[in-house]
Parts: sequence; C-alpha cells; structure tokens
Amino acid sequence: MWGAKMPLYVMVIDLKKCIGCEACAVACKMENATPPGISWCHVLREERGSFPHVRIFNLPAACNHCAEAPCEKACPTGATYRNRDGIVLIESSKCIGCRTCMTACPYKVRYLMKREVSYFSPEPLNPYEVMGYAQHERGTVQKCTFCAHRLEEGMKPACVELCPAEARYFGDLDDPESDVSKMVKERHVHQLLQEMGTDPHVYYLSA
Amino acid sequence: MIVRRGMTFEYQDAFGIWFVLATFFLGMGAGLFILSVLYGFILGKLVGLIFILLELLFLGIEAGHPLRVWKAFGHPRTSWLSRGLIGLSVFLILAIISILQGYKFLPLSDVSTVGRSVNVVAVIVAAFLILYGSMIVARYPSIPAWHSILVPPLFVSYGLTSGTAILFFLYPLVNMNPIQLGQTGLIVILINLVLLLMYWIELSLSSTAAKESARIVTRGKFWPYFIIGVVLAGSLIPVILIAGQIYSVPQRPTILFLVAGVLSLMGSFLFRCVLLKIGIYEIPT
Repeated sequence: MWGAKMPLYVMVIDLKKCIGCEACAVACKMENATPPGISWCHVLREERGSFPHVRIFNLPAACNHCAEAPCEKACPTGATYRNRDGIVLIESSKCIGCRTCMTACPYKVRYLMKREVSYFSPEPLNPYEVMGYAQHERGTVQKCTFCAHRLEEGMKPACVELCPAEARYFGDLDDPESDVSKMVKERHVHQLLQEMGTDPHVYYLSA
Repeated sequence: MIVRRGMTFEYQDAFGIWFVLATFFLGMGAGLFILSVLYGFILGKLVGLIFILLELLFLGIEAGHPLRVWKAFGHPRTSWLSRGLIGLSVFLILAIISILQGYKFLPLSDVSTVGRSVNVVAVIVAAFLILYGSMIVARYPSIPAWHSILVPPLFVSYGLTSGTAILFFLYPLVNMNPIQLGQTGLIVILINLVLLLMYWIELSLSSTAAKESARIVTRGKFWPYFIIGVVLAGSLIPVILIAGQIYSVPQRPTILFLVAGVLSLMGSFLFRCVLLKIGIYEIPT
C-alpha cells in the first residue's frame, strides 16, 4: 500500500540461552544451500577461565545488516544495497566479485562463491546440490540475507526457526509491541564492534 | 582462526596473489611514469603505461566477473575502486598524449604551456592511481593493520622506489645522469625505510589485532619475508649498493644499479605480500 510503513528487521540473540549447538548454522546451510567452506551463519567459540572453572563462551555470528554498512559504501557497482526493510542484500547480477566489500566488512561474514563443490567430492554434485547451488552465481560475493525469501512468505529466518534453545528473536524494531523492540529498549543489549559506527541490526543480550 | 581472551582473530582471505601483482604493477607503472615525466624520458613513460595496463589485467583476473567491470565506474562517491577506474581512464588518455608529444605526432610539444599542463595533470593522476591502490585496503577500519595513515604514503614511496628500480635498467639506453638517478633512488628508498619503521611502531602500539600483525612480521612465521626480504634485501642492501655506485666507484659499469634495482623490486613485491598476510580481523567475543 502506498505510504505503508516498512518494517525495520533486526535480530536479537540471547547469549545466555545459546548452547553453541550450531543448529543455526545447519539450518542456514539447509535453507540456503551454501557450499563447503562457506557458512553464512556460524558460531565463534572461546574458552574462558582456568581449570576447574572453565566454560565455553559461544557467539553466533552472521551478517549484521548494518544501518551504516561499510560493504555497501565499498561496493563499486551498487550490487550491495539495503532494501526497504533494512536488510543488506547483494544483487548478484551486478556483482563483479572484486571483494572490496569483503575487506570492508569488519565482521568477516562475506564470502566469494568460487565454484560449486560437492559435499561428497570427488562425487559429482547431487540433485539437491544442483538445485541449491542454482541460487548462487559463481564469482560473486554472498552473505546472510536474513532469509529475505522466507520473510516474503511470512516466515522467520531459518536460524531463528530452528534454534532449539530459542536464543534467537527476530522482528520489527519499529513495532513497539514486538519482542525485539521491547528487548532492545528494556534489556541490556550490545552490538558487535559498535565503535566502528556501523550500527549493526543484530543485538546480543549479554551472557 | 586464532582465539585469545575476549577476541577472535581471523586472517583475511579476500585478496590474493593477483591483487598483490595488480598493486605492484600499478605502483611500479605510476612511479615510473612520474619519474619519467620529471626526467623527460619517453620510453619510461611508455613502459609505465604498459605496467599500469598490466595492473588492469591482474585486477580483471582477481575479479570474479571481469566482463562486468564496466559496472564499477558508477559509484565514485563512496567506492575507491570506482574512483580508481575513472582515474585510470583519464590517465590512459593523458599518458598517451604525453607519450605522443615526445614523438612529435601531435601539434602540441612538451615545452608548450598546454603540453606541460598535460604532463603535470598526468603526473597528478598517476600519483592518484597509487593512492587509489592503497585506499582499497586502507579505507575501512575492519582490518586494523591496513587502516593506517601510513599505508598510502608507503604505497607511494614503494611506487617511486619501483619506478626508480626500472629506471636503473633503462637509463643506459638514454642520456640520463646516473649520479642524479642514484641520488633519487637513495632518497626514495631511505624515505621508504623510515616509513616502514614508523608503520611497524604504529602497529606495535595500536589495537590488539595490529599488535598481532606487528608480532608476526618480526617474530611470527612471516619474519623472514619482512626482515630479510623487505627490510634487508629490499631496502638496506640497495641503499649500500647505490651509495657504493655513486659515491665510491662511479666509473664502474651499472651492475650495482642493476642488482639494487632487482632487490628493490623484490622488496616492493614482498612488502605487498606481507601486507596481505598480516591482514587480521579483530572480532570481540
């Protein structure tokens, strides 16, 4: 509808709930069919403390869909853009694979699709891989899309849907009634590398 | 991936050998062109132009979709790659005019006001091209070791050093004063050394990832490339050889200049390789 207010999609990740199972990474791979070596969504791990008081700290990481995305500024063709929902996307037909966006991104969450490799190499691509890889153009840069294709159908991103610990929340920041909006306003959240001025749209609830 | 307390370091894997070759040839070509205009050396201008065209070739190989590169002209407001490609186009026209001046194919001579202006603008654009090569890596703070105010001056000084090195090979072909050329070489290599030292000190005093970068070039796995390749063979030995040639044995053949030239070029190339290898992201956890 003309003049309708567009949502501002953000993700909130509760680090207290995250168990580092990487179900989000698997869900992302299943949904987006990324080849071996490319994980749009992954979990960074760090061992903290010393024996016997040791614990593993998990940090799920993916594209932060920054409001001031440096990748968008670095892109010489305009292939990287922010859509009306605040999601940073890549138009593959415009991407020249120059990789300047990859070095501009402080989170290192952009990947060059070099070639279609089978998970069962040296076996040829199986039918699932052939179908999945068709959405990725070789020689272009790829990254998390917040599952924009699922959002269009009214679904949540795959990583949010499949998280067994329910550590991920997704919604419209501009909607005062949404969970994410309340969390960002009322709870202690932080963003990664805030000092870089990128204003990420992924928020973390402290562990 | 290296994990330290509260910090995850990840090495950059975006740029590789083709990017190194592209910036190496860009710096060498632009540096040679600038020096050749100053010395009035037409062959040097032509070779410089060829090197810059080679840079385009290597950039094309590095790109995932080289046939779409024309699309990269469209965003000069924010993208240094766009700015560089526009600069390259302007440079090609100016460089060709500047070269043709020397062969008297054009009505404007290189001593006329218009001819001189073309040369001056071509030199400025050539310097801009070196700058653009450096800004692709230095513009964004994502990789602390690259986001240094000293990276662009280092690229410029390495460009001029490489340009001088090529002149060491070419000057016997023309009537060029070897003492003057040697002094130019000495000055640019010494400036280079000072900048390198300042850069290393800056890395050592900066963020955690930059400190890690400083560590791996002096104590880590890349120290032979940096200490022996870049500093010793690429800078200190050429300084001694050039000084020996111009101050001690000026009547000797040009062998010392040739060796100094080869070593300088190797140093310039290795510097870019090392710079890529110390590209470390710093992701706080």
